Amino acid sequence: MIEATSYLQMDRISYQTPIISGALLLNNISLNIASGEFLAFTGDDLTGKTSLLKLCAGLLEPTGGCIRIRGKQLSGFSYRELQLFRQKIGFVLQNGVLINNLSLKENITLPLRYHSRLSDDSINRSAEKYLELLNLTGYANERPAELSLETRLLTGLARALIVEPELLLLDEIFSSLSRDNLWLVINHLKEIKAERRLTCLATTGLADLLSSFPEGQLIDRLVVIESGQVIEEGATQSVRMNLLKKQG
Amino acid sequence: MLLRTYLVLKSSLAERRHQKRLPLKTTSFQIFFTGIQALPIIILAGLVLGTAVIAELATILPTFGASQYIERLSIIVLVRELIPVITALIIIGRSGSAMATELGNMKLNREIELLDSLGINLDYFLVLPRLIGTVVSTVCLTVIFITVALVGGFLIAKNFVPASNTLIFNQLISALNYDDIIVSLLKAGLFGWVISIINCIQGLAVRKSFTEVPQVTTRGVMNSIIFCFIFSVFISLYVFPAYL
Repeated sequence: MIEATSYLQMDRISYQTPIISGALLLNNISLNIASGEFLAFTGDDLTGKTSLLKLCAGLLEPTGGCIRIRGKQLSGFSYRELQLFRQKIGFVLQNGVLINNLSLKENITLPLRYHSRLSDDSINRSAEKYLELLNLTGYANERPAELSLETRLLTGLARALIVEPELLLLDEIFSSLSRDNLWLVINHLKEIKAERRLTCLATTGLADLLSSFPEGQLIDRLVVIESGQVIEEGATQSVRMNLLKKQG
Repeated sequence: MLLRTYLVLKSSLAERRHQKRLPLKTTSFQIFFTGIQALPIIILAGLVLGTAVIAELATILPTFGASQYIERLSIIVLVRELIPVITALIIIGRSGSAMATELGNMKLNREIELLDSLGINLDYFLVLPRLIGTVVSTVCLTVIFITVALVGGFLIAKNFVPASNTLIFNQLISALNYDDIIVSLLKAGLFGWVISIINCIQGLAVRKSFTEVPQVTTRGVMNSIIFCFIFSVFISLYVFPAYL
């Protein structure tokens, strides 16, 4: 049953990618995500985790089932509604995708400059805050192509956070962060989550989750996806324990 | 092409209504790249073309007893026909191909997907600045081309081509009508629109692989040339026919 109070509801969604014809990348996935919840999808490569995030952002259309945001069907959003919804989400794409002909600072301020009516001073102040918070101050005027994947991912995160999103989508960012930066990000996300009930969906590879993600941190619920289906979901500790048992 | 332009204008109006800022940086960069950086080649082409046309006509027409038509024919050939088309060809080669390549690479680098995920309207943010920049640049470059071709061409022809020493500058300028300028600028604006829209459409049509980028670039260049030629002939023959 779908709970009416959920922030995001996935109702038996399926997705067939045009790249692999005939095969369903995601098959019959149903989940309720409450406001303020941090949920992580894990599984091996090519199990459809990234597609799941894109479906939640309305970047892809499910081939079956539907996604509801606060009870309203995402596929029924008008262009304007979709645009307004995307203004409230922060999406850090895999591999630290940034706009290559903009500096890091310009990348971070891009959504604010486009959508908000804030003054340039105020936008610059916000950018500087996040640059400092994520140790990026020294790279503010650099172009993305010259920087490491880790720096680009942190920049993507700063760009996602600067809009003070209600939904944060993080695609495989944890595995590429150094130990120090991983803790920095975890602590900061925990703070934001406590402050303003940030809902967060993240994807992370199975091996990365078990080997490098700190146990008992940040993630409220873990969903394991295999062959496009949810094979296990629940509190992080118990799912993690089961996964470790399976792996011997 | 018309549909895409309609969509660009419609979404741009909607974005302006929602008080989105105009992407001025991209627009000014487009004007700089398409307009200002193309100035040397436009000036060189203006001098060469102006000299060639004025000197050739000044040499050939007197042999047929048609000296009185030198100035007017120079204006018709240069201002109404050759200059808008050659300006368009230069812009297609420099900026049209660059536009298709840049957008194609942005698509493959997933920058387009990123902009989409930020709720940024692609037509307003990517296509409109290129459209405005290219139209403004094409019109301005055409004006500069005409000026250089007439003034520079006249001076070089008069001083270095013996048959042209009877030419009088005032007669050349008085042979220039408002109609000629309107036709030239109308063509320039239309060519700027054609070049930017076609190449943006092609660049954004890239789907999967980097090998598609040169293909869409070539297609963008070829389609732009074809449409510019068709529009040029159509305007010359049916909208504002020339008269001696």
